[in-house]
Amino acid sequence: MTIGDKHPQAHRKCRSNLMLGVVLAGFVVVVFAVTVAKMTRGDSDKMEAFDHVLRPQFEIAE
Amino acid sequence: MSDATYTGSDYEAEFDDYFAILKPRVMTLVVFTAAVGLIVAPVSINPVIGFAAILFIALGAGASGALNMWWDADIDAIMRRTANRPVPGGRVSASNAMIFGLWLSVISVGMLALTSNLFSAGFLAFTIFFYAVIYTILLKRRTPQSIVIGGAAGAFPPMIGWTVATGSVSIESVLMFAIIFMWTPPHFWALALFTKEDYSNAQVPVLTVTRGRASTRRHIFWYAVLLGGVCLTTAFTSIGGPIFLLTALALNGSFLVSAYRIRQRGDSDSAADEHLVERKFFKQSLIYLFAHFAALLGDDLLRFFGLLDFWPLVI
Repeated sequence: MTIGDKHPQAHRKCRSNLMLGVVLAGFVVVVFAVTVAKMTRGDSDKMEAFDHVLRPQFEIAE
Repeated sequence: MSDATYTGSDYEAEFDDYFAILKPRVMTLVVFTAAVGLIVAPVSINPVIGFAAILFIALGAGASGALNMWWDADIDAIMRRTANRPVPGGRVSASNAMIFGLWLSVISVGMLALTSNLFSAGFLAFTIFFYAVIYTILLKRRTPQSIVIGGAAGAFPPMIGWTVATGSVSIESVLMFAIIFMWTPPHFWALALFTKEDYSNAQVPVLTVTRGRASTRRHIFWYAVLLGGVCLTTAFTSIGGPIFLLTALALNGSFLVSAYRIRQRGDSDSAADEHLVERKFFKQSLIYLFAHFAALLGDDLLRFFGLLDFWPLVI
């Protein structure tokens, strides 16, 4: 094996890291897709209660 | 310059090792049955939510598999069928398997709660607990009935799929549970009949070891009879239909014939043909379960197009 070649173990390690990256990226995509799905079906009303957004309907009319 | 070679003996676990810890073949069954439970439920849900829910149910199943491998590392090392698993094979340490399993449990239950509803998440948590603690830790090494009781853990996924859609339990989801619950013992005992030495060497009290092979053969037959009854009942519920009925009649007939042949055989016959009938029964049981749940999907499709209005409902 020459210096430029990767050791088989380094290859395997690289593949493992790549696969883990794919899984984590997939997780992010799933969470994002679920968020979008919940927002578009009207669950955003529930979410507003937790994100400090001022909701005009809660204001007491003078 | 001489080649640089790695001579270290410490093996570093790879992605595939951690994936194998999740018992991917069991996960396949879980994904399929949970998906069927979700699809045939009378309430439709957003496909993205459904996909994510199935994914997290599968992850929960993987978590319980990892916890099972952590606890059973010592007996897995003795049995030929399991000796090459990542933990007994030395590729992943038992403690890492435990930590991995616990974290996956937290993630899968938490994400299912956020994705669907708290009831489904609680159900998944209970399933993981049931498989890892009740079956693996408490029952497996103590009683030959562990496979019957522990089989419930593998039977819960279609019920969880159903609760993701409906938020509740109903007779239809209980019947899907019952199919897998009644199917597990004969499926496993057929395997035990042709891997007898494995379990006795590991001192795991399976029926073949504690009650003998003749008794196991009788048990397989009677469970197959009860299983047939459960399947035929399911055919006349709101999830059943003509496809399921025909599938149940054909497959249960053939399953019963095979179970009867197993019952009638002696050990000498079985050894003479290297457990051919038992091996065939084991493979047949895999197709059996897959086909029944696929038939539920087929009837659901007919129902979707309004073609099952005539179907009589017993329950």
